Amino acid sequence: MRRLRALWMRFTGMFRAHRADADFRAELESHIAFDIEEGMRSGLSEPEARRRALVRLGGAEQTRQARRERNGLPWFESMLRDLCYSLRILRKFKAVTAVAVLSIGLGIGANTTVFAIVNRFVLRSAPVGDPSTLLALSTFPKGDTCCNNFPVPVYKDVRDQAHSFSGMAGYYEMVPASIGGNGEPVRVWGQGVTTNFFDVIELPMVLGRGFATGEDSSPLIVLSETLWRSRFGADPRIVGKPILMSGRTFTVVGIAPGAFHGVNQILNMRFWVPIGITRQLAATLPPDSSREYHVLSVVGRMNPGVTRAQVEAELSTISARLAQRFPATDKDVAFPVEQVGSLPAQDHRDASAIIIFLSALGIVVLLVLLIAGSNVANLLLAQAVTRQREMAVRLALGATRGRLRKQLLLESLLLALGGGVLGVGLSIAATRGLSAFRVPAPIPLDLAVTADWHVLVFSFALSVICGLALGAGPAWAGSLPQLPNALKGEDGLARPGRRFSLRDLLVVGQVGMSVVLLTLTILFLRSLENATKIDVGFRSQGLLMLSVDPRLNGYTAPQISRFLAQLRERAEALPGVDAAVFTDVALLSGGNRSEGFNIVGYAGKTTSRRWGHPCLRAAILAGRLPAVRGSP
Amino acid sequence: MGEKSDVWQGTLALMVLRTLEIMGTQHGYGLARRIEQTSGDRLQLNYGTLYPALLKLEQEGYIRSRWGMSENNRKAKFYELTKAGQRQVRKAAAEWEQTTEILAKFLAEGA
Repeated sequence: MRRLRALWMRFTGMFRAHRADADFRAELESHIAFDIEEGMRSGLSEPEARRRALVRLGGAEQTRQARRERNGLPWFESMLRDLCYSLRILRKFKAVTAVAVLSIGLGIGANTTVFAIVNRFVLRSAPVGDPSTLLALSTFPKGDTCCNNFPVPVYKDVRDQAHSFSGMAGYYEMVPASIGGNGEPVRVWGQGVTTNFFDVIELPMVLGRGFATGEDSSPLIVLSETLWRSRFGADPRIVGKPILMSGRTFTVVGIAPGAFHGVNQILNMRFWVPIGITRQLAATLPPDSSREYHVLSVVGRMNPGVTRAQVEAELSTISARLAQRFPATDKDVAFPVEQVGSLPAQDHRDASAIIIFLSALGIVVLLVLLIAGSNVANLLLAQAVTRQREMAVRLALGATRGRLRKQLLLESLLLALGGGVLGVGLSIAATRGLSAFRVPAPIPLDLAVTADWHVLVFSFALSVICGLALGAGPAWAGSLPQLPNALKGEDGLARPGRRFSLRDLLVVGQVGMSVVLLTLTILFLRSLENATKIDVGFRSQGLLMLSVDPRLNGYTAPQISRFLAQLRERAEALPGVDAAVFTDVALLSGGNRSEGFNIVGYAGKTTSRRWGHPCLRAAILAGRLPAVRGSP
Repeated sequence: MGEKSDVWQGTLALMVLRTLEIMGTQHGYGLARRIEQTSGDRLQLNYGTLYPALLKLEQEGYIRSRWGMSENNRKAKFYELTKAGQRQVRKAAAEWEQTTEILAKFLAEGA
């Protein structure tokens, strides 16, 4: 506290230095006068008394200097002076400054953008209570490539038998609904969740509450903050009010924070309803008594003090127990767990592919920054040659080489910070452009990337590192001119007898890295070109697509089947239409559905599930997809 | 101890505070003389070092200063203890006593 007070007094003292100095001059005069008076009293002559007084004081000027240093903050003042000087220099060499800021800006902009993406998808987890104890569970049938959702009865069994969890919640991952409120009804996506869902993930609500036990089949709804703002004008009294979803009435009980889009951060979920009422919005949900439909996503909150290994051991015991009781469906099904993150936890391959892609991107942009950095370092070295006279004069006037280096480093630091500011600007423009890109997928994705304070701290740190790294060489070289040569106007930085200079090395490095980048770019372009030529296995010419969602109009399952059959019949009757098929997942959309099947004659040996499209049969029948062998 | 000793780092502040506590309000020269006298003229005090020390104490809020007239009618800057300064004297003195006590035990050992 006292120290802080003293520091503050010294800081403000800096601005009162002039007055304080005059004041102390008067104090010192009175001090010397006292001393002379006393000396003369003891019989000394006045000049002798004055001489002695000054000796005892240790010199008037020295005393004033010592007090001045204590009055302000000398290191701070010299830094401020250096800063002003550096700014003047940067203004003087306008062209070098502009090129340097632009180069560093491009490099930092690229790095900041990639970091913003990494931050959004890898580092930032959903805004739930302690993500480290929240696990995502999945089923993993032996022989499959990866994991799957839980059948409802399996979820219930695991939930009842696992003691490592303080709570376990299940939810339908995607439920569509058309929402009322302000303006035309629009389709939004939400989730059907068990009533303990919000308690398990420990989500703090903006308004109202989550669901309570016993409300399993009540027509209640939790809206996301975004939806509440856009459709209901952020009505503060919305809790308790009825709203229309797909023509049915739901009562709002809570508002979830806008940053929460569901446990999986890539999906964009806007509402939550109790699991028992979900069927009203999605009539085609498979029966929840079946152990074969893998429909529920499951998350569990670990008990405090329980380790991942204990959880895994308990789950494998449960899996063995279930396999014994339900050999037909539950045999050889493991329950892997994964910490809930921002990347889709369900498919390890997707997650690692994203990480590899982002790392590659990270290396590329780092190379860009390195090239920009060595370019600027080279510029500064060239500038050092033209400034050696200035350095020589400052050295001759008594500046230390350390002081020169400090000031040169400050210049490069300022350049890098200027580049950093430009880079953040460029990056904000880039992320805006990227966020505006809509992925042509039929599921609600939220891929918006924004810069938060993590990103700003990152670019600031990167600018500082960049400034110090690229400035170190030029500052070292620039502070060491051969004084006699430099003062005479000859080249004082030349070191005869040395074969390679730092500048040569920088040029070699720059050319090398540029070649690597060029090669990578050409490779990327070639791959992109190849990807457009991939044989997708069917003829896409003349193929038209139309999408409808009868669920939004409250159709029941039989009504939907009837409607689709009619739609198909009439479409096929249209002149010019060859054939019409329907599917729940569009071709090449990235979505899929899996179904187990047995091969006749191999019964009992192959029960593996294969990815497939329900419309395949129709497509093959329509002659658009060649059957490999036999009849479909 | 025949020769005059230099003032150790950090002890000057305590000497100043303690002297002000005993003498009340005092100006810089008076303080310097008094510190020398109290030491029995065994301390070699460079008067100039007193002023940065006084400034430091003032910045820390242990003393305050104002201009006034001395008894022989000379304009001088006078220093006095603040409330915090009075507390600090007691605290620093206790600490110093403890330190010397401990050190004395070491020096007494084997003597």
